[in-house]
Amino acid sequence: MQGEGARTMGYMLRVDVWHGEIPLYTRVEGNGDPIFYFHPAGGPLWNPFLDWLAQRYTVYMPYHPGIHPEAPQAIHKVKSIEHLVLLYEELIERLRVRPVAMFGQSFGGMVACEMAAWRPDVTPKLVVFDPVGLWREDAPVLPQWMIRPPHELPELLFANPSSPAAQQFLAVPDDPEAAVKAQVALGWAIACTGKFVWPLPDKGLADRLPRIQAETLIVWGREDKLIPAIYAEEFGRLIPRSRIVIIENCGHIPEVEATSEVIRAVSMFLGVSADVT
Amino acid sequence: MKIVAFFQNPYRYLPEGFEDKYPSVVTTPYFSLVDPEKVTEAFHWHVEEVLHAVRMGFDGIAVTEHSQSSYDMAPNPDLVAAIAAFISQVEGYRCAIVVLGRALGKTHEPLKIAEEYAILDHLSGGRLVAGFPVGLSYDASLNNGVPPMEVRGRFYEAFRLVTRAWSEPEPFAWNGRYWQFPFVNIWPRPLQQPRPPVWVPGIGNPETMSWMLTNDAVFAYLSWFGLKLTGQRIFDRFWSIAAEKGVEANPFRVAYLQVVAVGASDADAERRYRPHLEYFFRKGLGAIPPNWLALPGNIDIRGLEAVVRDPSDFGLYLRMREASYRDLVDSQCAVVGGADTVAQQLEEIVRTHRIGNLVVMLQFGSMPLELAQENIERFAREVMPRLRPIWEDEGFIHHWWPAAASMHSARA
Repeated sequence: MQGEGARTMGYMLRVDVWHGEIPLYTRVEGNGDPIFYFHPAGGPLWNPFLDWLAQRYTVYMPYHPGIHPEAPQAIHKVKSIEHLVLLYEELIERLRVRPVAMFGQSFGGMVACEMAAWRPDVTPKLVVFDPVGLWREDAPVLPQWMIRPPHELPELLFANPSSPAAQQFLAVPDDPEAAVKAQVALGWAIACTGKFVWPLPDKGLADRLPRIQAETLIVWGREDKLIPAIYAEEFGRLIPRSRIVIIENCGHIPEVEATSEVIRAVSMFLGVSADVT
Repeated sequence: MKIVAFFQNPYRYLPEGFEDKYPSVVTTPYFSLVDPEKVTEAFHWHVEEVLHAVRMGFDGIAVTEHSQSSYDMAPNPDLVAAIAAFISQVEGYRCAIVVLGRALGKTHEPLKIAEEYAILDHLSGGRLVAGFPVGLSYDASLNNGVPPMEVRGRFYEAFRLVTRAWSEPEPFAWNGRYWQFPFVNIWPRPLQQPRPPVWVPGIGNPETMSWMLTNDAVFAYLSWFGLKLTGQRIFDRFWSIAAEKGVEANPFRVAYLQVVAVGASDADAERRYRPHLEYFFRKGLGAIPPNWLALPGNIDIRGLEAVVRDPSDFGLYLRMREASYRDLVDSQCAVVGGADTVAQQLEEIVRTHRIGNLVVMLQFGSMPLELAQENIERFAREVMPRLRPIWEDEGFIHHWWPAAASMHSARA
């Protein structure tokens, strides 16, 4: 999968956290107040929405441990989701930034919620796109992106897998060597994030969501086949100061499949202009 | 050479077209597909088949573990192994009881495995071979909820815990990453001390092979993927890792599983075994979704890259759901024929790859009890005597065989 192409000149940061034992890599793009974006299970994929965000903010995208090619074995040092939260907390402190918002997509949405719940004092705003982490008996959520075979992913992720946006997101490099690397990177990203959602993504987040003090925007694709849109209500019910935006004709990744609507909703929420300069 | 008869416990009456509709494991609907009386029959036939091999004088019998499976209804093989252990002991057959085995990367209860194996060792008078698979990916992770990324780490910790529990004289505390116990002091401990021989099934992961050599475990290549397609690379890999470690190329370090069918002649074998072979491979292994053999995190990133570049370790497996009888025989997924044909092929296999423990699967798929018994008898009478003497005069000692299990399992 691609999703490359930020318009700004970014860079990669490395901070060795946890008594120097665990290297954390963070991609940084853009200019402005700092925002943290936690990527989904498929990995640290850039996308046009993030391009827009990076024109107004400095976007920090931490790579989930194990995903950066220089340190694939780092995943084995991270024991639990609580441990992951502590690592990211240390990262943010070491970077000496005060994020004005936390963003997260899917698995990253769960991480952003956990960050906001564990440290309500340092998370002024929270924006989550189709986050995992809750459970309803009448709509069970399994980590289907790990269980279904890879060729079923497009159908699972998108309402319209043949749309240009979806196709671009799913595109495999032409070069065979690059294609192998991309396939391995995707598989390993799903493996590393998957450690914390197996066998079911409910790891007690419901108990912690009420701690969130941040103004929260919950965005959901109506046709999300991985996590049904009724979960937006669940997150909304448990997060005290939250509002919900459901995007029609859209699947699990609204920022890719419905970029303009997401930009509109987020710009209103953050109080910034939607226009692309 | 040692010859072990290996048995699974399949449901033998799955309908035509089953493999086009269902996976054979994990989510296979139970009540709509089975006749409960046929499940009862399956369990009785399975035990009969195992005991028949005991009484026909095989060096050992083997069973294995699969949960939530239509092709091997054996969530705990220790139960059937206990029957074989006891009956063989009272009837005077000194075959090895090879449980191949309880999956340590899958389990949530490693001490229970240590305890059950100890019981089996006593029931059999010290004839247990302790098999420890890492755990098939879907079995450990979909059936038993273990995160794929943790399976291997759990295997290593469980192995250290089990082997220590078997022999440590004093009660000890265990503070591991995955398990904590204030007192480990199991009753009973195995008769074979400090531990029974350990065999570890694998399908070619070099990390597992290296671990087996370091921990003095037999590499049991349980493969249904077609030896002609995979054998050379897998065994070459194992023996070259052994050479790198300075370990002697003792053939008794290796066990190999082969599906075998013996008839009155080649034509007779093809005619009578063919439908059962097709059933087994298509409805059983062939109906496991390939990605369930390697869920994300089950293989390390280096192994993942190796498999993406070259999936040949999987042999015929990716096409198995539609494999023809010819495909299966030509690739040696199965060795089928009259006694001469079978003996010749098996002799070539074991000599080429230096296999000191041949594990033969003589019941498969829909094969009914009577035919299975015939296959067991034909193999025991007409093939086994020709294979037994292999490796006998070459000076290798079999360090991975229970002392109480006799050289050839005639009545004691």
